[in-house]
Amino acid sequence: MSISFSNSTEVFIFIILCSVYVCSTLWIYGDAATRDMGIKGLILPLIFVIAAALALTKGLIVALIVWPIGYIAWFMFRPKSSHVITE
Amino acid sequence: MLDILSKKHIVAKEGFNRWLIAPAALGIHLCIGSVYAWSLFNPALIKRVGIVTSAADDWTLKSVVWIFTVAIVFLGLSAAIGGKWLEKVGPRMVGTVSAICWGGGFFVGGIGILSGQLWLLYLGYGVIGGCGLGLGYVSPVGTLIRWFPDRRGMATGIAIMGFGGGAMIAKFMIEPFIKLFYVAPKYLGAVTDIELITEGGRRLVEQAGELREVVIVGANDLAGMYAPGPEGIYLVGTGNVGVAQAFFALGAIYFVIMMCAAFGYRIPREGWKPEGWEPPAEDKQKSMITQHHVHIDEALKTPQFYQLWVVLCFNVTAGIGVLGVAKTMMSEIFGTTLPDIADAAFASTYVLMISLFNMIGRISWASASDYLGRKTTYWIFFSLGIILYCSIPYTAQQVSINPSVVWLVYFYAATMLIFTMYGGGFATIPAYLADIFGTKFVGGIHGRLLTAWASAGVFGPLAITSLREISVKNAINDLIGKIDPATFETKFGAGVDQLEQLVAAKTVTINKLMEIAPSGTVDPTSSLYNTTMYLMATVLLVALIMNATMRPVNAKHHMKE
Repeated sequence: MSISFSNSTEVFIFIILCSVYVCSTLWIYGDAATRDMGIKGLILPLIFVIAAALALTKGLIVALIVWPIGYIAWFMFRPKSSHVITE
Repeated sequence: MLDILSKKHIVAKEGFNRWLIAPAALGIHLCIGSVYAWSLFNPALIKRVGIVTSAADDWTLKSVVWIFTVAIVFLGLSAAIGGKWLEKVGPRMVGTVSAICWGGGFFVGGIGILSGQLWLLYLGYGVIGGCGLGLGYVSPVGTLIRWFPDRRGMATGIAIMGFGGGAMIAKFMIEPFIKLFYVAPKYLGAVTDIELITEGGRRLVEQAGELREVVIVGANDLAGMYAPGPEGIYLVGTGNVGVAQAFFALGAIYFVIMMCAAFGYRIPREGWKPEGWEPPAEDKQKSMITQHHVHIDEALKTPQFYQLWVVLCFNVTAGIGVLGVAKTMMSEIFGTTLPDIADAAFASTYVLMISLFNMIGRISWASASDYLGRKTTYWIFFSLGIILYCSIPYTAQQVSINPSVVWLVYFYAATMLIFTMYGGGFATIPAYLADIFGTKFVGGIHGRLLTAWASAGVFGPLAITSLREISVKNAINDLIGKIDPATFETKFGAGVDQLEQLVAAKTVTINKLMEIAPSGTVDPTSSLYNTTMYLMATVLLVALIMNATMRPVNAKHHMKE
C-alpha cells in the first residue's frame, strides 16, 4: 500500500476520513449487536473495513464516494427491530 | 480448575483493603509497558547470524521495526473484542490469558529468532503478544474504578502509569540479558592476515578445504558490539547474539509477575462503596458523573463514545507527532546551533526525560482530574497543547537566528509539558468513560475505545513521515530557485532537470544545497517541522471541539432496571 500526499491539508483530510471510517465501523458493530444479528453482525462490519481500506488505497476521492454508499446500504439492509438491554 | 479464575471466586471478603488492587494492576501494566522498549531488540535482531555485525542472511531493520506496529494494532483489536468478554468472566481470567499471551508471545518469538523464521517472530511478539497487551491493558481498569469510585482518576492513573514506566524498567533488563547470553563468534584475525573470497556478494574464507562465510568488523562497528572485541574477521555460524535467550528469560519473568498480579485481583461485592462515601446526588452535580449505566453495545450508539474516541485518538496522534520529531529537532536544530550544550549526552538524557514525564503525567493529570473534572482536564490538554504546538516553530526559528539558551530551555519545558499531557490523556480516559457511561461496563467500553489508540498508531507516524517529505521537497525547490544552475551542475555532476533522481539517491540534500546557496540564504532546516506542529495543533483543535461539546448521555441509552 502506498499513500502519498502533496500537502498538509491532504494529510489532515486523510486522518479525519480514517477516523470517520473506524467510528462508522464501530457504530455498525454496536448497531448489529443490538439487533441480534449473530455472526453476521461481525462479518458485515469486517466487509465495511475491507471496503474502506481498499477505497483509501485507491485515493481520497474514491474513499469519499464509497463511505456514504456503504453507510446508506447498512441502513437499508439492517434488521428493522432492535432489542432493549435490561439490567 | 478454570473455576478459580472466574468472577464469583474473586469477590472480596468483608474488610478487604482496596489498595491491594493497585500493585496488582501496576504489576500487569509494568510488564506489558515494556512493549515501548521494542527498539532495544532491533540492534540484536539484525545481527542474529553475524553476531558482531549484520551478515548476508540477517534480517534487515526495515523487516523487524514493523513488529512493534503489529503489536499495537493487535493491542487495539484484542482490547476491543476482549472488552465484552472481560465484563463476562472478570479480570482474573482476562489477566491470566493476558499473561499467557504476553509471556507465550515472547516464547514463540524466541523460537522464531532461534529458527530464523521471521513470521514466527511476527506471530509471537506481534500477534499473540499484542493480544496479551490489549487484554492486560483493559483487565484492571473496570475493577479499579469500582474499588475507587471516589478517586477514579487516581486509581486508573496508577495502573496506566505502569504502562508508561514499563519501558524504563525494560531498558535495564533487555540489554543486560542480551549481554548475559551473548557468546562472541570465532575471531579469525585481522583483514590484512587472511585471504578473503567474494562470492554472490558474501565474504568467505577457506577453512579445512571448505568455504565458510565471515563478517568483517571495522572501526565503525566496534561501538555496536555487545562485548568488546578487536577489528577484523569473524566466522559466521559461531557465537550467539543472545536475543532469543533474552526473549525466553523476559517471557518467563513477565509471565510469573503477571500471573501473580492476576491472582491478586479482587472485585467488590455488589453495592459496595468506600466507608463514609456517598455518590454525589444527581441533581447536585454540576459535572457529568452519571449514576446510570450504559450497556457496552449501546455505548457504541451514543455520540459521546465517538467524541471520546476522537479525544483519545487525536491526543495520541498529536503526542506521537511531537514524540517523533522532538528528538530529531533536538539534534538537528539545537545540536547545531548550541553544540556545547545540546551534545549527544544531553540528547540521550532528553530521551530519558520524555519517558519520565510521560509517566509522571499519567498519575498526576489523572489524579488532578478527580478535582478538576474530566472535561476541564481535557480542555487544559487541548487549549494549552494548541498554544505549545504553535509556539515550537517560532522557537526553532528564533534559535536559528539568535542561538540563545533561552530557546532551548523553552523548547525543553514545552515538549516535557506536552509529554505529560500525552500520558495524562491515556490515564484520564477510563475515568471519563466511567463518568459518562457508568461503572458497570467501563472496562469493556474502554477496550473498544482503544481502537482509537491503534488508529493513532497509524496516523501519527504517517503524518510525520508525509509532512517531513513534503517540507523537504518544498525546501529543496525553494533553494533550487536561488542557486545558479551552472554551480548546481558543477557540484552534483548533473543538471537541475535531474533533480528528482538526485534527491531520491540522496545526492542532493538541503545541507549540500546550502553549501552552494548564495550568502544570506536562510537555512530551511529549522522550518522543516512547522507543518507537523501546525497540523498537530489543528488535530488538537478538533479534539477540543469534541470535548467542549460533551454532554451527558441521553436517558434512552441507559440500562433499564
